Amino acid sequence: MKKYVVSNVIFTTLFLMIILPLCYLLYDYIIHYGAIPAAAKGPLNVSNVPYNTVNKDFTGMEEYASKVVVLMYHQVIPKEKLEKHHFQDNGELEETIITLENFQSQMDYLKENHYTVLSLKEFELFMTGEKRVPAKSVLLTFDDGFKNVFEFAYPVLKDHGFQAVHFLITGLITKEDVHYKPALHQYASIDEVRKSSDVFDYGNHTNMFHQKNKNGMSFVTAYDKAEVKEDLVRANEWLGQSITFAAPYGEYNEETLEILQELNTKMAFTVNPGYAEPFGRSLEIPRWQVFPKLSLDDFKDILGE
Amino acid sequence: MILIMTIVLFCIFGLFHTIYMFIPLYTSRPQKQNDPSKETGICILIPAYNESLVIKNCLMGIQNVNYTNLEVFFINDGSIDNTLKILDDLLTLKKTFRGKLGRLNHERVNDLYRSQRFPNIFVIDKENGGKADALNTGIEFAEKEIIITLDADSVLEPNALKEMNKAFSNNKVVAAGGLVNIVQGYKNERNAFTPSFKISGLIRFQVVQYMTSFYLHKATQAKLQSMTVIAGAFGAFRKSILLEAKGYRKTVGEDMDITLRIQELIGTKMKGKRIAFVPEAVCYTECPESFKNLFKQRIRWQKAFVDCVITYRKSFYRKMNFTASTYLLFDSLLLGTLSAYSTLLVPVVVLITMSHLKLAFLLLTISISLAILQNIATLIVSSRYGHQYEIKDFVSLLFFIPFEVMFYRVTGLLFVSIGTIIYFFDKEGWSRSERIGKQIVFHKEGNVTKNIGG
Repeated sequence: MKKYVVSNVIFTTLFLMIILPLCYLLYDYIIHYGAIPAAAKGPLNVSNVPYNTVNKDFTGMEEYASKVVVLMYHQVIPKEKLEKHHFQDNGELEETIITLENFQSQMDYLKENHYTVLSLKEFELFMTGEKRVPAKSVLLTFDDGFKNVFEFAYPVLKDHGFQAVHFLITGLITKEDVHYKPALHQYASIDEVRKSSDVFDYGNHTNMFHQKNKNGMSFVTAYDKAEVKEDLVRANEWLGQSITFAAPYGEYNEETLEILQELNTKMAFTVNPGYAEPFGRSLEIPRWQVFPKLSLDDFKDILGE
Repeated sequence: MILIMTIVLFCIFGLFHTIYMFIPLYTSRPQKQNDPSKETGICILIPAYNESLVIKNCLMGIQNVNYTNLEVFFINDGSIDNTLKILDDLLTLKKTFRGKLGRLNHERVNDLYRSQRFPNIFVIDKENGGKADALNTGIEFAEKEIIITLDADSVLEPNALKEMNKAFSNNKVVAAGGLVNIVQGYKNERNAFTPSFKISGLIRFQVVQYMTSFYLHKATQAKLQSMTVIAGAFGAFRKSILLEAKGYRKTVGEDMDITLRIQELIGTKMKGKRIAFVPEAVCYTECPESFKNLFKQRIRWQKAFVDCVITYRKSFYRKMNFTASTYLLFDSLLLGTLSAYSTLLVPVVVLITMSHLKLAFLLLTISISLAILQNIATLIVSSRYGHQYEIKDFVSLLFFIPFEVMFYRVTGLLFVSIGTIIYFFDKEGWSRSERIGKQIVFHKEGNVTKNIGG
């Protein structure tokens, strides 16, 4: 046996040198691209994720708001981490992405100019007319549940002491924590969702219906009422309790509104620009999308200055 | 879902192939050269149906064998060519009589002849009944303890029987497979018969495949007691186990059938017995030289395989031991046959959807690396048994490996897929590969095994 030792050792070394790196790559691929198949099965544990009941005392203000600006964001990515696939064919940034630098300056502006960033609870009370909020009030919302929001926007919000509503596509929230990779289209993991609940209140952005059919119709409007309802119920169950909803692509119809009423959804948001007013249509609250090209002056315009 | 299944299958595939490399590397070692085993009686059975082209070569191999306690039966299975006439010319046949065991049924025997020139060679002339039937007839007449089955186009290497006999000196061994090499992968040079790689791609592919299949796969399976096929070209059995198994069954793949039957016996009545693989016992066989004939041969093998899986479906894990069942079901069936479909399907899906390209590329890279490593392992192991290429051949072999992986393995998958489908429509009976009749020149001492030992 001894005379074979040399060839065996050489072969084994060669084998390990070739196969181990390949296995690592495969493992890496499965962990990262496998994120979608490995969706978090267990629901968000409600007891671990208290809904923000922050309800600040706004009495004694000089002026109160008659309407509130609701801002809508999707993805927040630092400039240096932008990759080719974040851009459109014409070379401009995808409309759902704003750079972290822009986001930072917008938040700074809100802070420096003494804007009140409302919690979901405060906004709800404002909408029902039970509470008056300061004149310069805004509600920040995020759609989809992208990992980059948790990675980059969350620290900024926390730093400024702001709160926001995050509408999650619950079926895409992953089980495993993975590293942020700019090259990938990553959604947050269930752990990240839990940990960030001090800043975010979570809303329903469907479970798996954030898709379009062959004719370009959103699933929410394309499918039967019963099927849409089932999906929304599933998302609500995952979230534990959810009083708010945003329709994917902003597409909805009368049936959608009926479902929302049946599910006791207190507030639902559109993607149409406009201002939220008390006693308004609480299931069709308008929002301003913050586009990548928006300058700080445009931002001020939206805020109504 | 398909993606997850593909990855799981791939991991099993990788695992089996890793086992196939390391077990032979770390456990295969040639039998001792100076083993003074006593010669046990050996009886060689050679079924022959229209073998006029190759029967002379086969006979020459037998005459060169270094073994004395030997008798040989050519079984002429109702040939319609001049096979019997050629045998008569070569052997000078004379009618003789011998009693039968009376344990196995077979077609009517017309005459039993004995060679006047070589008194240990007999010829049975019988009505056509197929290969299994011919072998059963031979078993009936055999008087020796060990039975060796040989194809008419198989040529024994001079020391093959000696080596086989050594393996049978272990009482636990009830059956053994020899190593089958492809005759076209050798050249006659300076009165020696040495491995050569100056051959067409189709034959190169088969040479590499045979070597991998025997030196790695069969060696591993024998080690793990999970041999599922003793190649019909060169198999050895104790006569008692053949009788216990009630002889050969008439089927497309009687060699796999008898092996599985023996595995059943080992798993039930004859616990502790085993099937061995003897890489020192070499025989040479011809492989198809045209794509059409290769296709026919492989389709037949696959049909035989599917037939056996269906026949023995209730025996796995119940009558057969765990490793044998696992190897057959996972390695041969799941990876070899079922995954052939997904393997063929995955690139198509990837190309259509254009997603997971990176994964496809990664899996392909791993398969190629595994295949190349496996071929290197084959060369290392085979050289330990004296199967050594000249440097020039060795280099061209190394260059051939990537082609083998990229082109021929895919072709192999195609054979497997088509064969499985055809099986369910047409279960043919006796058929066989084309015969070529390549001349072989041996040293009397044998030369393939001469490098062993020391």
